Amino acid sequence: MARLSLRHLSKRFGTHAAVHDLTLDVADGELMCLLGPSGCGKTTTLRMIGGFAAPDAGDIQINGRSVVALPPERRPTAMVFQRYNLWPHMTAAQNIAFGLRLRRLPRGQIEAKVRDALGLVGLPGAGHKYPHQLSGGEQQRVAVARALVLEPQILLLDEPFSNLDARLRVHMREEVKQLQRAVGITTVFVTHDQEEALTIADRIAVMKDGVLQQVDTPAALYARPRTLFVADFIGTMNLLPARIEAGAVAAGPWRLPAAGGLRPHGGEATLAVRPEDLVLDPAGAPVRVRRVVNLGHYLQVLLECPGVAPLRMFTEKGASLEEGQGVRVRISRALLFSGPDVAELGGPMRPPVAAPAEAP
Amino acid sequence: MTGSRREGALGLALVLPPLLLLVFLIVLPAITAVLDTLAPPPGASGLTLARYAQVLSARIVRADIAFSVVVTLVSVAAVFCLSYPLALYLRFAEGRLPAVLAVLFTIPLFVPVVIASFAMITFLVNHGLISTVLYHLGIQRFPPLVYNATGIVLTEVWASIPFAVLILGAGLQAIDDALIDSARDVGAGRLRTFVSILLPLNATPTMIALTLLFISIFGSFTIPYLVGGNAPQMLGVTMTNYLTQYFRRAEAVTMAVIAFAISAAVGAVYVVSVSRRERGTV
Repeated sequence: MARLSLRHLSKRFGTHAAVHDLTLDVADGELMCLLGPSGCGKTTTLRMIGGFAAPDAGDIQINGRSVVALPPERRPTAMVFQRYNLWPHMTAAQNIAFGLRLRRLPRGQIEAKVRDALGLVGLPGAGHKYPHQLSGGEQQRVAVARALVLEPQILLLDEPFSNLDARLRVHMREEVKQLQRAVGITTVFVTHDQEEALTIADRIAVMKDGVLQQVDTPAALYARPRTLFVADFIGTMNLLPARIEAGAVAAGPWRLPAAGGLRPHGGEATLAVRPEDLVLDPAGAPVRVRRVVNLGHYLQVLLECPGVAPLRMFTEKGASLEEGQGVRVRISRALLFSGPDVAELGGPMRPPVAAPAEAP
Repeated sequence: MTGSRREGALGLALVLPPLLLLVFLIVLPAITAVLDTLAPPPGASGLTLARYAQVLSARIVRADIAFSVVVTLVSVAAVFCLSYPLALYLRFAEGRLPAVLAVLFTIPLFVPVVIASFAMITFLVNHGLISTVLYHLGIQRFPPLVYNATGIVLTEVWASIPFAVLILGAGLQAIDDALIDSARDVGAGRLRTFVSILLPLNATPTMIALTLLFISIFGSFTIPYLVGGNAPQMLGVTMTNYLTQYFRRAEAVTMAVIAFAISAAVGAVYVVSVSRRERGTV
């Protein structure tokens, strides 16, 4: 049972603000992903939670108790690193037992706990092996076992699968998710891979340049990004320069009726459209097919249209599209970013909002 | 000639000069020296250990050998105890001071041993800086610091610390932070992390540093010659005296072979421990 609470956390390296005024709550048993491009401060945040970096300002609380003053060995957290987790001069069992031996547990109890931990991560027979006799994935599993065997209150994972090959990575993330659910441990998972975050997290905290952008469930983050950065970073997004005019938004060949209360910030705005929200429609605007990529169960179509960068559209496999062909496409749903404001245009509950632009 | 053959020939041509140098200037003279020490008296045949028995029968020579080993072991131990903390400090401390120290501590590497020896003499001699400081602190009676084993040890330590710190530091540098952070994370304090993680992971560089230090101090000449006393003396000085002062070449060569055998034994310990490590678990 552990709640983690970060309060106005800041960390500077020289003049560079690695983390700036970060406030985040992680509920008991929740898997929170810290997601962002490299250098966004996510690993620094994790290292501050684990006690490996001291915040310049702010507080870290576990179950309401501040742990900022505690060194890593006295915090109720356990960390799995990106790589070089296991001590090469000890076997897997010795690696797992090290923390237990420091706690002066009886030998029989240590052996039982090590056996259980190895079983939990699916490596019951690997106790006598040295790290160099284990594969990369097995090493990371032993590292997870070593972290969990001490029954920490918070599990911290720092891109633990980024050094594994793609197939194994997908497999391991499923395993960790199941394990985390089974143990019910509060977990903070750092990754730069949005797909990884979307598949395993209960909630995702998106960071950029040390600043928290948005904290939300994967579905909400995908559907309702609150900043242009999140919109662009999560999933695939088409960004079109847009102008807010009287009662409408003009972007490329499209004109969309604007929702009420939209304020023009100097008239410049950006329209964000998911590839699946571009829909083939005889009443849509004319565009040209540049490329068609068959991705198995759907087609990814690159569209060329006057005045904007090429757009990505996902459409059903049955659609007969040829490169160079002219088609008509409407926007079924979009987000308009204008200064600090975000407005949702269209949406699944509304009638089609896109109308063909007048021919130039 | 095919490409790979040409490459092979080029490789051989590159290796040959140092190889020939090694064979003609080191291996062959060493073999002839060893054979000389085993040569029987004129007229007899076969090999004999008579020269070794004769050299080792002299109490002074036995004392010098024991003195050399003890002075070397004490020096190596002192260097190890002083340079490990320094290497740890340079590995883990942050900021400007360690960067400055990292440059300062290498200075003895660039000071010729002769100069260092005379500098130590002026420091340690009666009426030298150390004596004067001790005198003003009220300590008026203390054993002499120079022209004896103490002087040799102090000077050897001064001259050897940079080398030891470089080797130990390079080893510590190669230990990934995650391995150290993991130990802290599961509850190990600083001392426990050092004993259980850093020391074993840095074992190979430590063995390299200790054996090379032993061999270089054991075979040193300048420091014991200048800073040491008259007797007992270290083997390097004894050998030189036998060769250049007493003109007893055969005894000098025999002592050289004994010195070589002691160094080779230490070297063998190093080779065995390193190769076991590489074959085995680490």
